[in-house]
Amino acid sequence: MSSTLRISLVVVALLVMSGIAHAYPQYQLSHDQTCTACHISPSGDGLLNENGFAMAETASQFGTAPEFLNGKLKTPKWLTLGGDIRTASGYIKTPENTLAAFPMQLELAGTAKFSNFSIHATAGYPGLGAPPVFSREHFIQWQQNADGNDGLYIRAGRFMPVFGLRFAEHQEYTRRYGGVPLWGERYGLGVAYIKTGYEVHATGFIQEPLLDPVVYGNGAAFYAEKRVCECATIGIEGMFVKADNDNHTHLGVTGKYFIESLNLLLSAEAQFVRQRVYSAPKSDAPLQLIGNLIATLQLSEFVQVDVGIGHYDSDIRIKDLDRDAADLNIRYSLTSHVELQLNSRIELLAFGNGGPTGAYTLAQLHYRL
Amino acid sequence: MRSLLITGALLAAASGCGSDTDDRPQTLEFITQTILAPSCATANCHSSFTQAEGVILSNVDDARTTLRNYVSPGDVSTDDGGLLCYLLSPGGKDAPCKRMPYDAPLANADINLIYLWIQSGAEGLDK
Repeated sequence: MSSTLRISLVVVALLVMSGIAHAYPQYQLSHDQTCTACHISPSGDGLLNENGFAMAETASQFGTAPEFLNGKLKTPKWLTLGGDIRTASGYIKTPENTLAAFPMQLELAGTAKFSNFSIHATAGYPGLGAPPVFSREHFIQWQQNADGNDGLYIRAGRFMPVFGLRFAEHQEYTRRYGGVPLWGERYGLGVAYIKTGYEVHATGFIQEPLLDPVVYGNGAAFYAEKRVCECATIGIEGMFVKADNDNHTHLGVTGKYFIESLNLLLSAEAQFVRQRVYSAPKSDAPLQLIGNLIATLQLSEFVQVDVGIGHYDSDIRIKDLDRDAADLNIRYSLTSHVELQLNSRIELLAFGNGGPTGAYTLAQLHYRL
Repeated sequence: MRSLLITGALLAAASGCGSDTDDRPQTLEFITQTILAPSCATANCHSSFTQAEGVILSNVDDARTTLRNYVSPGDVSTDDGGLLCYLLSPGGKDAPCKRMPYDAPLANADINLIYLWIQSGAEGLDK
């Protein structure tokens, strides 16, 4: 063991990188789909529908029965069950050098659907220090098209406001600093209208009233995305959050461009954020810039590679508060249920002049129940 | 798409050109809301939801309570297990504190603002 390399094997306690399963927006244009083509939720995460199961089977090297527990446990047609188990291990430098292994997600999910109405709920173990069992999402939903995956959706309950591109990796700056961090689900009322050519989402939300919150404040979020051609989308986003000590105003744009000849998808999101801290003069309100640009190469049906850059400046008025990340994510779907990932990042503060350089490389094992 | 990329590049370039003078308020409220909460109070760490090590840095009231155990106004020593010890630790097994945050380094300018806040009496800590 090197004297400069402090090795800590943290089996449970290190949860700073833990996460939850989201959809991969990278699939949208390459497979000519909306998020709801594969997911039950209009935000495009969580439980899969029939088409999602078929996709999970097709997009894996050894396509096994994609249903809950490989179809061994039959459920009535109105009930969909699922869940996710995720672990990660690897190396983190911040600049402390750490070897780490930790659970990311232990969660069950279910949806009961009766005609146009459905009830959704998750329950899982969120980690040490937090409540022992935690329901990240639970909501009631009405959808206009009971047997389809487009049209109007209205839901009430606890869920993540639909905002921006919703990258699966919560370490992406547009998620972490962009108003939708890990466990940023809140109680609210959401309305979505989804068609193949466009989708519009609006969510009003309140601060978590029952538990100690992860995110503070009441507010509203808006996201609209239009497919401008077979190979591209553009989107706009806005969010306002008012908390006891400050408020945040987010405005942003998104874009996706699919280069079919290369099987390459470019995804970009940029936000401009004004944070007003009430105790400070208005002139001191930080002006922030957040962005991600990710190129996703679909090497085969079951191997996907992301190369991305991220930029976050916590106050553009002050020098050396900007940070940039270079990301490399490799995903391999072994079976319909088993996914292996390698996530790596190098993070520079003010291009190396603003603080220590950070880095991590983590191998993930994901089992979808 | 091209105009989007150009706009993004211009904004990114502009964001690296801030002032050399850091005139941000040296107050507990400002430091909590703009530095500690977004950097340290992530879901699994020092949010009020998880409260890792009993430390809450996600809001001003809880940060005040927490930091009273980690900050002595005017005392900027870095080897006593205080806040600056965690923020400036070189890391390694001989270091008095583990370097924080764990998952992404804090900018030197932010650490300096916290340093100056403590040095100048940690305004807001005793409210």
